[in-house]
Amino acid sequence: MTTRLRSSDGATTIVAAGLLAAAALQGVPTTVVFLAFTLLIAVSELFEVSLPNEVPYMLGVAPALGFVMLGSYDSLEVVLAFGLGATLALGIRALVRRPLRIPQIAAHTIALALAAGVYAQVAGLDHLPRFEAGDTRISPIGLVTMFVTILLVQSVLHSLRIAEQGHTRWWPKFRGQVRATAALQLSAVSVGALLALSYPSLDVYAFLLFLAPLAATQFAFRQFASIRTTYLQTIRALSKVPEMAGYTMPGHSTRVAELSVAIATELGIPERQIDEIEYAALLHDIGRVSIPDPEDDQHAIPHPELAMIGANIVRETGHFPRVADMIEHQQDPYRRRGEDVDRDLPHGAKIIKVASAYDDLTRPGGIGLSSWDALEKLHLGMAYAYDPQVIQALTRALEKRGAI
Amino acid sequence: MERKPHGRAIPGRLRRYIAASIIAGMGAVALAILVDPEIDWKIAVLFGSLAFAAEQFPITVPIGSTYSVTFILTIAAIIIAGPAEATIAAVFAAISVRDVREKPLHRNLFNAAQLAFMASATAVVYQTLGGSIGESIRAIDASDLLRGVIAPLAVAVTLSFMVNTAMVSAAVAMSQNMPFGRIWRSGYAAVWRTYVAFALLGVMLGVLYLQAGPGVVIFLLMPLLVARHAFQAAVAMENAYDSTVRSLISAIEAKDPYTSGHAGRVSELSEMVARAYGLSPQVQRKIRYAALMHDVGKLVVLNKVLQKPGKLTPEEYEHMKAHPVHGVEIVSEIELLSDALVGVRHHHERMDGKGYPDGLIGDEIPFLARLIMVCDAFDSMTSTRSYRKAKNIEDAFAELHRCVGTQFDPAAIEALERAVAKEGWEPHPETEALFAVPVPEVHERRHHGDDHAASL
Repeated sequence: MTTRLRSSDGATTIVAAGLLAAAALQGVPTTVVFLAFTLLIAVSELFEVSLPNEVPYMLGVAPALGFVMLGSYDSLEVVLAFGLGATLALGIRALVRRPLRIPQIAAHTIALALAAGVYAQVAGLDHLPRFEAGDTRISPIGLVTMFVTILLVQSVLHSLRIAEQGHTRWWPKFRGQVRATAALQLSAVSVGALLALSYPSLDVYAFLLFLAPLAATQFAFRQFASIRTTYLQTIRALSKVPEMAGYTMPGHSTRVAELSVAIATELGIPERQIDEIEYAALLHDIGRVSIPDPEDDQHAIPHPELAMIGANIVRETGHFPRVADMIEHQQDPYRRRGEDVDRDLPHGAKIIKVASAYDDLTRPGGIGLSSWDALEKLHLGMAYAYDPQVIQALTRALEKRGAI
Repeated sequence: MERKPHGRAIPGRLRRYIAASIIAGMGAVALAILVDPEIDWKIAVLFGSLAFAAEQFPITVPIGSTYSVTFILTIAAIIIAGPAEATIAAVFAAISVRDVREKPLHRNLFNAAQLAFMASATAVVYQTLGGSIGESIRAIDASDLLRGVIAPLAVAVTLSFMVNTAMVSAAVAMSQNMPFGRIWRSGYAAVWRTYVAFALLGVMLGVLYLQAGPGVVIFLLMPLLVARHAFQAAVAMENAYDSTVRSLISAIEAKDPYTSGHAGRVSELSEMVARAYGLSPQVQRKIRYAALMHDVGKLVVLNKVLQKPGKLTPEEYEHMKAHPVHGVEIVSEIELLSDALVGVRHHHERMDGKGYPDGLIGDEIPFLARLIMVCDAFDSMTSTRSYRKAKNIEDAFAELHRCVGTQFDPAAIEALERAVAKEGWEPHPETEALFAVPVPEVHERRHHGDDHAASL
């Protein structure tokens, strides 16, 4: 984990701090309602879920959106309540030594400010239909615009941050983030609306009721995240079998997987496919366990056949047809002499072929070439064996790691 | 894992019990309609249809407990309109298309009676305790809400929850011949939290429905649908995980085709024992996967050692004995198994201390390891190997008992015996071909030498 300050984090944090300062200058409301919402935001901020793309998400935004919809405070005051609540939660996280998540809080602050502003504009239009309960009036069209605003702003900020962190393009990250958070943001907006509608009559009991859907959401996402983690850990663990049994070099599959992910990221491949490429790279040598003993001649069975056996092992699971295809074609040249480029060849297969060859050339104790020499050797194979685009992506990935 | 449906007839005691429950359910419906002065059919049909729709897509939360929206809707209907509407809505929920098709009639009727009984009992108790219903809630304030809604509802839900779970546990206890208390604890001890959360949601839905109109249903449904979607994704992923790990393990162990499917069966046996002991679903799951992966370390052992017909040289024996340690090394980064790693490391220890890798004696060996050891030996003996035929279950247990004290733990054997007696076990006479591409056979197969009773 690097802790150096990134410029996007810096910019987001400064903007968020600016917003909070402006809000504070306008005056801190001292009403019970303001205090109650600030505390509720602090409590909800401690509910943290891990999204399908492993990004943490704190649920404090939901009551803040409810506070916007309550309509009795202006946007800056809501932002101030969120800022104070989030800071309180931050203090608690610091006390129990949990990650602080400052960049996420900053991004949420900015997204909330914009969503609140947009909602106030739209809800202010008189002729729109509304839900009413007590003094609360909620505009459904306002809700939709609020949902879209918070989803887009938050995803843009997040993807810029990740793109900078990983030196990659932001568009695939943005799409991944929208996909991963849309449902949760929709939930946050709905729960916020429930809170705003029930607060006038139910008072603090609305807060208690409000925590129930929040807890259900957190529980569901936690389950998903924990199974996903176990899954990946198990695949990683089993991918160690060929090397521990002496069929391949120690660390080979892990290094090939890391490099394949870096190359795929360079190529702008969507996140979900990157997961599959990682699995395929981890398991690309699994077929070798069919060789009775590593001391036997490893060439007794031709490599394409080993790849086929490995692919069939994965195919047998019935869940990763594309991973199996990648493993099956990991040996295939990207084009054959006198033929056109094979367009059906999976991207993952071409990537794994390059990553595996690079690792064979450079790993200590093996051929042991320098990164430069290895790249040069791979370049020589560009006419037929290796896809030039993949080689370029590898070069860029190595540059960013400072390997060349 | 779904066991095959038992073909045997329903015992008489259970039949009488089910009949009584169904009559009680019908009585509950009648009572709810009688105590309710006027039936608001709009509410009954609206909430009934929502509940019906929800039940068509039931969702099982991964690792235990179930998740049903019907309870939320029933509570809301009680608050909005009263006992009759809530009970009618609950009866709608009982008509689950899939259950009607797949489960026997008596189970469907029993479930419907349970749902009706639960709704009616909650509503009638709520009303008797002076809980507010309908119009009076429209302008309720916070302190009245506690006295007029939440307090009576808490009492009513607690009572009906107790009665309902007790009735279901009794039916399960009679049909499976298990102690009532254990079923009740293992099935429901963990569920009450969900019920509290759902009851609160029901209150919220009811009050908001009265105050802001039917539109609010969508605000409440939205987070529930999102949570449901996440649960469903988790269930799908858990299933994918299960079959992936199973087939990877059996494919990898196909290095030795004569033991194919062995790990899967040891895993199934160990989980059966865990289930028979009423361990929590989370622990069952850990045991299942620890047992599934207990022998991965063997893949690191050279085939020529694994399959050597004669006596191993001291070096070869040392090499062989390292396999549980290699196994731990492989699976150590799987957090799910972190407290089950001892089961992998010590599954070749013997009660008399002559096992490996650490030579632990008796109680020093973790129970999970003693259990895996027994299941492992049991499956080896009841499977056909190249050099001998499968033993039947009685002979296998006799052989296990013969080695009590030296090799096996009597408690572990007894646990396995109980589990097998309860759920049955199909000995595994034939080995099956695992995947389409034949594994190249370089060496000729010979005597295999992994008879567990003879301690490998």
